[in-house]
Amino acid sequence: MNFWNWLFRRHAREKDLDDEVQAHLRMAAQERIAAGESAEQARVSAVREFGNVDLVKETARDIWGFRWLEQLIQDVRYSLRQLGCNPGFTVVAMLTLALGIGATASIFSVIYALALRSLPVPQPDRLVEIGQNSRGNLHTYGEWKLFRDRQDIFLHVFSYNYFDTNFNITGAKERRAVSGLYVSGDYFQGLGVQAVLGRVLQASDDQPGVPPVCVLGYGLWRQLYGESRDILGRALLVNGHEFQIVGVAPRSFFGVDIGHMPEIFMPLEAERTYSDYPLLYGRQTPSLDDPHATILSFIGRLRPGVRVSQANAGLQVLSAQIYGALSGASDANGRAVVRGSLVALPITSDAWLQDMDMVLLLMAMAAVALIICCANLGNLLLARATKRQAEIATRLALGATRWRLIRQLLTESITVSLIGAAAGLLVERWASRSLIWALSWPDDTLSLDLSWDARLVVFALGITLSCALLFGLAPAIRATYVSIYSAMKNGVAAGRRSSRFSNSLLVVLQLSLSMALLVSAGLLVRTLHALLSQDPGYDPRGILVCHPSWQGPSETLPRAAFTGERLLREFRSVPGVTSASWSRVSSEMTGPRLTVSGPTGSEGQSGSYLIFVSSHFFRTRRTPILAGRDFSDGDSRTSFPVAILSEDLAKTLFHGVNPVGLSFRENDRNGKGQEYPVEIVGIAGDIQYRRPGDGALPILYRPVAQCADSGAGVGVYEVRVAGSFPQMTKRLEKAAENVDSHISIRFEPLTDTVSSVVHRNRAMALIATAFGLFVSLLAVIGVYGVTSSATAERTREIGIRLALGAQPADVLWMILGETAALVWTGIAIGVTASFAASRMIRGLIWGVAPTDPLSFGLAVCLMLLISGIAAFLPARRATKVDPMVALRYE
Amino acid sequence: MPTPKRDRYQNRIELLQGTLDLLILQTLQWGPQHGYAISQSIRGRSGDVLQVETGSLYPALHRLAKQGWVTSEWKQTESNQRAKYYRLSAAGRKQLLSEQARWKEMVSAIAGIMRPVREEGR
Repeated sequence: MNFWNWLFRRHAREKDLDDEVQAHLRMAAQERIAAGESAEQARVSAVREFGNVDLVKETARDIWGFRWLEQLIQDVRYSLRQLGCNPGFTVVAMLTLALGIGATASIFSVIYALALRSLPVPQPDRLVEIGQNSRGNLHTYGEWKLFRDRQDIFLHVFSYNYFDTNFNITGAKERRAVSGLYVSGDYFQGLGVQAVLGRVLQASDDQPGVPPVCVLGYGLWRQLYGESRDILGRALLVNGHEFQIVGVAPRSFFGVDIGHMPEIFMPLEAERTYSDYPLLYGRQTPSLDDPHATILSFIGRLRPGVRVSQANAGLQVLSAQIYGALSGASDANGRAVVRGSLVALPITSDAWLQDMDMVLLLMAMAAVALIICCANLGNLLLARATKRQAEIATRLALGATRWRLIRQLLTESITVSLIGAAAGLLVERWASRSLIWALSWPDDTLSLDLSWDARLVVFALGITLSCALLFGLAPAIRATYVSIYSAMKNGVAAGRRSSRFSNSLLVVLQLSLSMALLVSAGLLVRTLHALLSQDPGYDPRGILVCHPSWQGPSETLPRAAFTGERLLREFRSVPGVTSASWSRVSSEMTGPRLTVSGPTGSEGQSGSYLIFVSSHFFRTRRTPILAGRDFSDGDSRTSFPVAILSEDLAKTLFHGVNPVGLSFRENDRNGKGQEYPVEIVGIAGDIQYRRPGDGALPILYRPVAQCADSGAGVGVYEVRVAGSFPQMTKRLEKAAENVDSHISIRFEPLTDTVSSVVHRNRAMALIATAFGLFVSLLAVIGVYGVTSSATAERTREIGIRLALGAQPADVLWMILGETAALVWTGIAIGVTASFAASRMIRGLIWGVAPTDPLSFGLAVCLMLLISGIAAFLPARRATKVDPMVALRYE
Repeated sequence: MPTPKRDRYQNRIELLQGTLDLLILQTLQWGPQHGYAISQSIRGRSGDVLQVETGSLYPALHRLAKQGWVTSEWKQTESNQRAKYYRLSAAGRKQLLSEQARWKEMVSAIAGIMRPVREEGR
């Protein structure tokens, strides 16, 4: 029997069956008339003899198959009618489920994208990342050339610059910052990715001296050119340099780094073309030519049939050759060449491991929210089951089996769940966007592929159906467990007491879980507050940070570093500027190790971070100079080298002895290996460069004028202004134009930087608070429900009490007392759960005890207050009962 | 005093599972019949001992039709009424033969079981 055939011929068969039964009845009646019965009596007898006409028809229909489908359609239609009749229940259930399922699905989709989704390239499992067992996963350019030319272990090897990923692109109309990659020539071939338009990069593009070309990401192609197909061969300005567009990458392609979405791909060698940038502009990362700059990530594609362990054996041999060849190269700074061996590891995303504590907390919150949602719906359904007892008893009496009724009630739950899940999809889209916002850092946006695929759909359907079972099964079974006789007689159910008991259990569960969430939210909010109220060692208010960058053609790039000085001078002369400074953070990957002769002749050593600052740096930041003096304009390139130590560094090196006037020896970073003395002229208060909760860093300040080495990074200007920021940015831009019209400046209030550092704490506090309030709301609905059903059931008893002279206040307290027992139980369990929860999120709280009394106290008070209100409303209604009405009732 | 109706009820034998199909097929062996006639015929030929519940008859007829053992068409009865007539198909005839064989096997098997019991009882 074909399904479609069944579907279309269903009505014809129905009619046929009906006719057949009617014919039977007519013939039976006729026979009886012939035997002498009256027409009316004959008809009645025939029908009686036939039995349950509908049951016969139904059984006959069963024969023709697809009965289950027919029943399903029937059940769904019935469910929809039921839902339509109870709009209140429907809306509450739908919203609850939409939020619960949406939140869970969004967290799963983010985790899925971070950790479980495979790379959108052919055979991603054959790709390995090649790291170095003694140093990590990055390599130098010298190592890359040797590795590329000498290896025959892999089918393809390719590399990309891990650090240089931020570019300014000047298109036809606008300028925008995009993330991109410098990749080796074999990058696309190695990944097995074809261009959707034009061609991908080739080995011939990655040669010294060839005109620079680039491949656009799909997104950039769409945004800049609206997917226009005639862009091939056009020029694009990247950081002010012309690149010819040769192709467009596929839509889903993002390289091998999950969480990053490069939008432009350029050959490694193109980067070297511009390695003669002046220090001030553009470059923030070490150049390829620095023999010690480990900046490249290596990826290999295994040959067919070769296992990772086999590849590693080959790599061990190859490493000896590579590092052997490199150790002959001159090493200007006298640093030892790294020894070790290359190792291949399957590519797995570890991004989610770094965020594990956050992800776990989010998952726990979503799970709790979902459980509470289900508990709430279970409660609602239990209450409804009580109301529907008469209906269910009637249907049982008419011959429906219990299984049939349970199936029908479950169909109702599943229908609600599916509708809720559909609404949850909207929530999911929105929630995953906010999750990504929460997981991203302001300067490093996470971009993930969150599109739906089969596994996500299975997950979403799975949780939807398990929700339906979770909240629907118990009430369905309970609802059908009625004594037909007593239910039909007066609608009083035998199972009611126990139904109230399970109601109460669910409410206790809800209360305790929401307590735990509220306490966690409180702890996170208190953490944020503690972090923000921490003294960072400077005053960020009123400071504009200016990041200048060079936007001109390379020929006219001013090479003189004195442009930096001129810019500073121009800034200082702008009206409204109270103070301005210029600083450059050293690009040295490891800070200089300072060795000083202690006062007693012993030597002290400490690693430190090197920052080059101009005069007025500390004044602008309002950081106190604790001893000695600040840098002045007199500390120039030609004067005696001087330094200021941070308080932390001074303590580490000199153990409380005033070091002002002492000196240490510094290595000349120009590569000649000369050492010269540097005099310590002052000690500055500690400045918090990391998160507010972290300890102070040991920092060595040197005058920017005395920074001669090629490794220094971009300059940053900090300007303390008196006027409004928008007005001042305009003035500062004009001042920069006086120096050179090619300079463009990105402005950022320093307070933004500070607040972006606590971004995650803020995001988590916000999310946790939102979740906490949401589930508390659900718990309150639960309290309201259980109290009102308890009072409704006792209307008669209350009526008698009032009639016998009980005061309304007594009744009120009686009912409130019963609910209070419930609420207190919930809170007591909740406090215990909160201790467990606060231990779980230990890594995310700072500056506040995990047993913070304020967070616990507030949560308890909030729970008490809102459940008090929720219980008071139905209790008060109960005292308004008219004894006469109550007694007549039932 | 027991009413005749009650008597008949007590004399009735519940049909064994699967035997209804056999009885229907057997009845249709002599020509096409409609549902009511089939039930009357089975009752009459068994001397009112076997009464076919309409609740089982029609599902059984539809089950047989689905198997392809009977075909059905609407025709006029002798009393000029429209009724659905069931006719034994070729496949149904084959099925009837095999069911008859099975029935005989079962009867002799049950008879074999019953005899020793009676002997023991003596």
